[in-house]
Amino acid sequence: MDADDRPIGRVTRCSTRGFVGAVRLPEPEWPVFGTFCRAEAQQGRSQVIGLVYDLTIEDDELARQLAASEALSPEQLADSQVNRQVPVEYHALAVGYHNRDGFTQALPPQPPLTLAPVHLLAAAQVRTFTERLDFLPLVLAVPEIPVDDLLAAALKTAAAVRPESERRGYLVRAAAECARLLGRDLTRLESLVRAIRP
Amino acid sequence: MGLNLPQILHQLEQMGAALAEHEAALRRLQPAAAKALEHAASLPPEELAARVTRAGDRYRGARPSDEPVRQRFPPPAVDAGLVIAGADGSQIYPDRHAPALYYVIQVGSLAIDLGTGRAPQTRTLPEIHFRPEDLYDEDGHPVNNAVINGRRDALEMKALADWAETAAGRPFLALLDNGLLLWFALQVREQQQKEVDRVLKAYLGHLDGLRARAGAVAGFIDRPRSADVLALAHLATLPPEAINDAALRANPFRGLTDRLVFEKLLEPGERSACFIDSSPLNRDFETRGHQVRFFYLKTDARGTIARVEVPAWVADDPAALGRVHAGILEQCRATGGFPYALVRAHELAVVTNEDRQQLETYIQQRMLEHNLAPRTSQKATTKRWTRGRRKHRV
Amino acid sequence: MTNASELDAYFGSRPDETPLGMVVGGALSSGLLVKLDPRLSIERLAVGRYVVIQGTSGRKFFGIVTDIALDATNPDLMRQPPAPGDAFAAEVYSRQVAYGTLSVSPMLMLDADDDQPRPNKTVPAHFAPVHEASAEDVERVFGAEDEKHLFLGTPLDMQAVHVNLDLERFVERSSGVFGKSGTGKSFITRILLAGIIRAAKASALIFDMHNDYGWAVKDEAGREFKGLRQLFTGGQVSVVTLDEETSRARGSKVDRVLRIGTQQIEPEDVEMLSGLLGLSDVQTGALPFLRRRLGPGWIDRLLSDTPDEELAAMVEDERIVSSTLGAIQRKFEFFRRMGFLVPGAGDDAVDDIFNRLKKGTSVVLEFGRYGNTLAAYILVANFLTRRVHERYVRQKNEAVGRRGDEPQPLVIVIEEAHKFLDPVIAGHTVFGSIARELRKYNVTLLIVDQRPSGIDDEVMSQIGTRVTCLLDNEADIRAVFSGVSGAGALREVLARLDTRQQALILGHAVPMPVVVRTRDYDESFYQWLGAADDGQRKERARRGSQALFGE
Repeated sequence: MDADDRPIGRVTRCSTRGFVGAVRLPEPEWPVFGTFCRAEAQQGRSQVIGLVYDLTIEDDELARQLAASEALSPEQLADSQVNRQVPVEYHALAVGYHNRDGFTQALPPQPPLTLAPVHLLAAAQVRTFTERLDFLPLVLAVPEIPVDDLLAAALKTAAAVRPESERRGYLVRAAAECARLLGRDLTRLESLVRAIRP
Repeated sequence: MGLNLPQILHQLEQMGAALAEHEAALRRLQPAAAKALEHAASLPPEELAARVTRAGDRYRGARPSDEPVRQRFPPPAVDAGLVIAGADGSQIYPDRHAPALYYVIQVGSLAIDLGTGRAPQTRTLPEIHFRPEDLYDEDGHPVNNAVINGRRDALEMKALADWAETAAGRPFLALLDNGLLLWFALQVREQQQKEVDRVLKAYLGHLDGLRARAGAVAGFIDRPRSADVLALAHLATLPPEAINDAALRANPFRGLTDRLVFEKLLEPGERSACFIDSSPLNRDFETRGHQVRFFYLKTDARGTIARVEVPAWVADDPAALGRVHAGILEQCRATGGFPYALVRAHELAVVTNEDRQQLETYIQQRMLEHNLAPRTSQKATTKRWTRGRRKHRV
Repeated sequence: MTNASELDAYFGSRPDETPLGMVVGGALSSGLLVKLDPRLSIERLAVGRYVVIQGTSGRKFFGIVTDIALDATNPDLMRQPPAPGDAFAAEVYSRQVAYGTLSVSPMLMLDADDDQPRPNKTVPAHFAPVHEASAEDVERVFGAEDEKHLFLGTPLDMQAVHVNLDLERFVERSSGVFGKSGTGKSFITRILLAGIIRAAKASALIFDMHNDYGWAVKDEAGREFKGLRQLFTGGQVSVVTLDEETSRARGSKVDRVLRIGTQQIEPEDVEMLSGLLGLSDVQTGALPFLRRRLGPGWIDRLLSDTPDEELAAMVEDERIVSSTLGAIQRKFEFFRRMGFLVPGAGDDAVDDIFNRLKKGTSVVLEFGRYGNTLAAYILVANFLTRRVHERYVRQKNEAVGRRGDEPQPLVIVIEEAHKFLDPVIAGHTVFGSIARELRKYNVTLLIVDQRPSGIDDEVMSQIGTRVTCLLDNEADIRAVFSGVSGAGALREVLARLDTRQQALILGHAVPMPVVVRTRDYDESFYQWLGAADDGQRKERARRGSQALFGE
């Protein structure tokens, strides 16, 4: 895999369904809901592909103090937003893995190791990975997380890495696949289509 | 297993009672202390000065400067275009239980351009020391942790001097999270003199740099426990001929702090008069023109008193002193009594336990690459066994 | 699908062909249900088109699209469609959730080792891919154009492919051309007859009511087209007219004028006209008696102005009621008005016509002004057909007894056929007999009609090939499909035909029903028949002589 993707910390806990990573980064660089990342597994022989679905920010006393203060200066505000490396914890859902044979969209055979480095998936890889849509049922099947919003965000991410001329076509294809999977539940399908609309 | 609370709980009962009693005692003393200070203020300055001279080298209390001892100074305006820098350091001390012997100093600092709305520039500079000349003194003894603290202090001052350079022409204020004097020197003087001298030289050199660039510098001490001014007040109550060691030691205000006195005296934003620090350490500083002075400052509406130390060349320059006064107050507005620049400097500098463990993992990997077998001590290993684990569930 | 099998090599490969869809349900009796590929625009499809279904193990099914419908995986979609103007949602839904279906009637199947398609007896497997039929497929089914096959038209949206009618099978049974007025029945009939005549498959006796067949026919817009006599200048077609004056005025080339002697008319000839003449049952029943008593000149005598003693005597003897006789006489005035009826024994017209037909010449009988009189049309058609048919029966029996040749096959063309073949009279008329005989005597009908529901069911069931243009009356549509198994599914196809130049052909002469855009009746058709325009011919001759003589 290439080196133009950004590191976003390390795995702190994991299972085959997904993993949790932690990183200290200023706010503009935090991993975003619905983006793809990868974590090393099997001693580097494979990478688990994750879809970020939850971000939590650790307790920050200073931020709370400043928020409550009436005397916050613009420099202090900018400092918090741009400079402060806040520890961010993110949860990623395993939606596939990558090894010598390329991408596979199924639960990975082994989870990543604790402290394995995590990187954002580079644009070209996101495009290749999302070309196939077999990961959609993996997302839809997960209980207790907002799968519809997550799916919409993931598909928007996937569309954004494609050239302008291909975006609509891709979204139609992906939404049609969702329609096939969600055919029974029209209301849900409607909201999803509305969320994905280019 | 954790602290054996049940065993300790009944001891806490006694503690509570003692604290209450102590508190009451101090309260009873306060009026007398206030009166003593008033009395000291009422004396003509030469008389006060004469008493101080009579007290001799062993007197460790505050010495008055030109400013009347009970004078209160209101806050001046903040300089336009002021640049405020803060620096703080943290360290990993050498650990003989670790896989290898090393220590780390990390200095975090930042510079804020007031009034621009821009995010401050930040800098975090770590150093790892592993060579024998850093780890051992000339006699082959492992270097003292206090020396490492001193090296850290020097690096903090260096960071501030570097920021002063980039401030180029704009009014500049450097803040340190600590007093200006190098207290580590008192802890190691005898054995590691050379190290001390080296550190002192570097430190004072950075102060020279700051002075050359017309930057103001101040050390900020939060929750000061000193009673230097009380000592002066006590001295003032003694008739000159009665001044001797025994009389000095019989300070009735023992237990009180200057902070408690000035809490009553100062309004929010006001500073006290400047005093001169009597510590022997100040003599080295004095020789280089950096005699350390101090004043007390009420930083906020809640009444928090801080002790601020400045070199003489700042104290004697009304503009520079005003810059320190106003700058610190400005920095304390949003954070309630502690300067923002120092909060952030600390954050930039801090090294956590996890950081340390990660570092040691990497060190071990490097050692393995060079065919060295890193061995943790058995003590460290057993400590690791007793830490908890957590399972992940999606 | 496009694996290089032997079969594909045999039929020719299909590069870049996307299936229309796949078979997802249905039955042999009710037709197959095909789910359309969502990438295909349903609006591009039409009923009446041909499809080929690829079964397993190399078998192919040929079918015709009989219905097109919209469906959805979730019935709620009808109540909760995407918002109007939301093109994105519409596109998404129409890929998987909402889709189109076709109903296909499978008609023929072709196994890998067959060389001819056979009637269909089973259904293709689930998910068999369905393709639009190619030109080769259609040719495989219909055969190539040759002496025995007439190119009649092109299938829908396949201008390059020719649908060829098997002429032998067409004339083997009676056939019909149906359609409401203005849909071009006579054009189609002319093409069929031209094909039959050119291929010399049969002679035709055409009762041309409105000058649509013989010479210089005109369409509704007044454009002129060549009649059969003009198309066949080598003597294969004769024009016989009842109304010489009108024919000559029109410029028609007339080969013979037909006069019928009143003495040639018999009561059986008149019975068919009872309704039109207004004769009651009693009056009709009296006719044979009158003939017997009055002899061959019975009509002349009934019409005579001078009193007839014998008639008076019959009345007095009460052999006939006076009012009945009176009524008959009054209604027989009709005969006087018919200029082609001459008193007396008439001439040998019937023999003449019969001989022409025997030789292989086709005869167009022009009615001139009499074409507007239905009674005249029925009288003459019935008169001639009875007598010609009689001669055919005799000749056929002689041939069976090995004492003579087989008579030349004959096709009798009648218009307004429901007047001749309605359920009430079909049993009594020669036309009904001919239809039921199934060419026992080498005579078949070609009926041209716009009210097939008026035709007796039993007769209809004997009509082998039906060429149908647009019909919009339910009863007529049902009538056209009666007696043809599995044709009910084509109802939708029939109802959607264009108003002109489109026809559905089903029955004996085609292996499977087909919708065609009929070929144009124009210069190219004339040329194909070898009857190019006079002007063109002169031009060719001139050029030819120029080439020879350098003028």
